[in-house]
Formats: sequence, C-alpha cells, structure tokens
Amino acid sequence: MPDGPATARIDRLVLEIPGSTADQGREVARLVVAGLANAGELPQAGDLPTLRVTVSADDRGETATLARRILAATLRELSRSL
Amino acid sequence: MKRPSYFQQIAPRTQGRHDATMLVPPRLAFRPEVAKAEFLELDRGSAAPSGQRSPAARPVAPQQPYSALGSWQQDSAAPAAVVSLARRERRPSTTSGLAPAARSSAATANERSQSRHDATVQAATSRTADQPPRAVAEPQPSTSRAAAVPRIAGASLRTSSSEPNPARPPETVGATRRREAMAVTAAKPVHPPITMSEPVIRVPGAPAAGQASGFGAPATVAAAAAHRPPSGDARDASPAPVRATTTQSASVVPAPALPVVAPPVPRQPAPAAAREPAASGLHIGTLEVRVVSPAAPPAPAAAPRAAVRPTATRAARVGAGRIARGFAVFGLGQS
Repeated sequence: MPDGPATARIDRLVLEIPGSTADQGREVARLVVAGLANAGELPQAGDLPTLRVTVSADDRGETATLARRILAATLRELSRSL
Repeated sequence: MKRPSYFQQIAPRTQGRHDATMLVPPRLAFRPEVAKAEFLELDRGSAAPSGQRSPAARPVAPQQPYSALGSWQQDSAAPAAVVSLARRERRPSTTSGLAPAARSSAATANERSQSRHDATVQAATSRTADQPPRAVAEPQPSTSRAAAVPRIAGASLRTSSSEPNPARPPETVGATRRREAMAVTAAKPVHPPITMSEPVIRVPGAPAAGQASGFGAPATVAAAAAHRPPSGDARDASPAPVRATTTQSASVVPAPALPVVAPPVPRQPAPAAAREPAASGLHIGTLEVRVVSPAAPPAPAAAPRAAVRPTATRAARVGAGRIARGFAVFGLGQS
C-alpha cells in the first residue's frame, strides 16, 4: 500500500462467473483482493454496505485478465460511490 | 275381640249351603290397582296388641271403613297402636304434626282422648284422600269428626316427612335430628365433604395418598387440612378458604421443581466500532462481482431469398441467348 496506512476491509466477496469452476473463481477472488491491496487509488475512509460491479468476460478465458478487469471496475465504482 | 281377616273385610259374608261361607270376589273398589303404593301401610304385626293382624301388606283404604274405624270405636288400644306403628316407620311428622292439631281440636271440644282418636282418624283419612269415593256409603261418625279437624293437619301429614316441624316437641325434634344424622352418615361415604382439585397434589411435604388422614380422604384434602390455620372454628373449615390456601401453596411450590431454561437471547450484531479497530479505513460490506459473457458475434445473416425473381428483360434475354420463358413454354423459339 504505497499511500499510507489506510486499511481496506471487505467482509464478503461474491463472484458470479458463468462457465467457470470453483477453483477458477477462487483464483479470480485472490487476484482481485491482491490487486485491491496494492491499488494506490483506494479511498482513505468510507463505508459501503454493498458494492456491485459488472464486467464482461475475457474472450480468451484467462483468469488474470478477468481479475484485472474486475479490479479496474471495482476501483471505478469506489471512486464513484465515495 | 278377634278382628276379621283381610279377606273377611273385603268379601261380603254370604251364607251358602250348610252355613258355609261363599267366597265372593272382592268388589271393584278394592282392586289392588286402585290403591296406590304410597298409600300402602305395612303392618309389621307387632303393632296390634294381640298380634291378630296379618303380616302381609295391607292397603289402608279398605281398612278404614270396615275394621279400622269400627275397631277403633270398639277397641281403645287401636289408636295407640297405629300411632306407634307410624312412629316406627319414621314418619315423625305424621304423628307429631298431627298431635298439636289434635290437641287444638281437643281443647275446643274439651275431650282429650277423643281428640287423639280424631287425630288418628284424620291421618287415615288424609292418606286415602286421593282415592275414589267408595261405592258403598256407610255412616261414619268418625269421618265426620275428622272433617272437623283443621285441614292443615292433613297437609302437614303429606309434606312433612322431610321437613322439620316447628311445632314438634323439643325432645322429638332432637331425636329425629339424631336419627336423620345417623341415616345421612350411613348413606353417605366416609369422605369429608371437601372436594379439592388435582393441582393440590403437588404441594410439598404432603403425605402420600392413603396416608393423609384417618378418614380415608385423598391426599389433597389432607394437605389442605395441614395448611389450614389451627385456630379455626366450623366456619373456617368451609371449602372456600381451604381452596384458597392450597391454591396459594400450589402456585408457589412447582417453581423450583421446574428446570430453569434460559430464553434464547437473540444475537445482536456487533457494532461497527467493536468490530473494526481501525474505523478510519475503507469498509465494504459485500462486494458483488458479476461477470457477463462477452457479446456474441452476430450470427451471419442468411442470404436473402430471391423473393422477387429478376425481371426478364428483353435485352438480357437477348444477351443470354436463351429464349424467354413464355416463348419456351409455347414453343415459339423453335419456329
């Protein structure tokens, strides 16, 4: 976290990925969380009960690409909501 | 004097041959179905001084005109016998109720013995008041004397079998009450007249059933008596305070016996301050991510059908070197 001691906490993460397995879902979740932890543009404070993000799947079906799309869309929603 | 038998009373004495008595069936007025059961008087045989009466049951009605009244007029011991018989049959008001009325009539007539006789006659008359009048009317001076007796005597005779008579002598009232008490005690069960409900069984310290009291009462009653205050008179022993006492004790006791079950406490969500030590950071409750499949490429459009056929032009037809359809059909191209 390059910008300081700000802490981000997510109680529950729900992924709805059609056509994928549970392992692929766990991998996507892990990559999303890691990307959020390393993201530098997170808000310093805020409380959101629910945050909904909708992204389009990768045409090639790569997990890392999907995780990056989800991370980018989440950051956009955070900046828009807070 | 020997009294006539029952058959001699009801059958007329008709002399047949050789002075033999002819048996004639009794008249209709003495048919058994005429006499009601409540008017029958049992002759125990000991009432008569010489035991001349038959031990069988005898209706009073036929006895009245022939033997009863007649013999009473002749035999002075007959009224006393009837009175003693009535006393023995537990009809205290029959005699005791009639006695004052008879005495009052006797006071007016200044004939004490005659008034007692009238009282007895009145008793017999009142018993047969509901019966139809006799076919044979005989002169009955005693009946006329009985009519002079106040009517209230007959009324008390019918209805005072269970009601205490205030005009009764004190010793007779006491004896009657004692007899009635004994009869009630013999008729009723030994249980005391206290009835309790089932919840009283749970009273602690109460002895088991059958060991409660010497009366054979249930344990509930014994428990009630044990909880009753000792200094209580007969009014305190009424069922109402006993019930209140047992109800109070029963309501107190079962509480420790019941298992204590703590009601389920609904789990309250922890406040945000307690859950989050660093409340200054970013908190997202639920992050829902929906991945939708990319838009499918549009399906290749099907080649449009040649709905409209190309118009056959003359130039095309010529250029193609073929014969037009119409000509081909009709074979004009061959010419």
